[in-house]
Amino acid sequence: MSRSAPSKVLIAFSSILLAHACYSAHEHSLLSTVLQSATPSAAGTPTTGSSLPLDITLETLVSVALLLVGIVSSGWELKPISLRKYAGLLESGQIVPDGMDAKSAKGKKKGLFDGLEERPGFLDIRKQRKEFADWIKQQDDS
Amino acid sequence: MNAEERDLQIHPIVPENVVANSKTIVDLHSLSSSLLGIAAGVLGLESYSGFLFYLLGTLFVSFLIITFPMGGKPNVYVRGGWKDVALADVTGGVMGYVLTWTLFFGLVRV
Repeated sequence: MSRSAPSKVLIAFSSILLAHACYSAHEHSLLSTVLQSATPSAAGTPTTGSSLPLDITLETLVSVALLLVGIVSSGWELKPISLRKYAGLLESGQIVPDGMDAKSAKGKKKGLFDGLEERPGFLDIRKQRKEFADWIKQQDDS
Repeated sequence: MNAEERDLQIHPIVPENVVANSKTIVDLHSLSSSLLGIAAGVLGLESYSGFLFYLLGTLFVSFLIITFPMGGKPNVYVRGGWKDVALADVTGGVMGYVLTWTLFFGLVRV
């Protein structure tokens, strides 16, 4: 997964925005409790948890939405599941198979069925027998 | 041989890619559900409104997944289409969501 530059910027910016919204909400709740204990007229009213100002609410929602957009759009690679399409992309080199990076895969054949095209050459069995006989002779001499 | 098996033989699929794609989608959902939990905690949502927020957030994330990595064609990458994207690992996502939700609710409002 390689992150693109715009999504990196988006993630950084919206993280800061989210942290700021979080801090603002904390400050707001702190402020309201302090104010309530300071003014005796308001001390009787219970603390309402969901009385966040509109700007903090909007900031939180916008920052999370931007953060999600940034994360999802940051170059997650999905591969097509149908064999026909996947093999076509492999052979045209648009997708690099697992266990290979783009450099080592260059120049090699990459298709799914290219293994069928390669086979080892014929075995020279007489030469191997001669080598084995020489080796046996050498063992006997020593 | 029923119709589905025959369809699989005519249009074969790559099982490794199915597994890898669903893993990526589950990763995205669990990551985003934690972030949604942060937002819900900061907003101070309680009970049903919190779960409603999670539902809306997950739908938004599914929409983003279908739009950005899939290019608007979920059937190419997931067997079940958009339903599989939206319903991938809902229970695990709720766990992460509730975790960060309660954490940030406590952090902000103490």
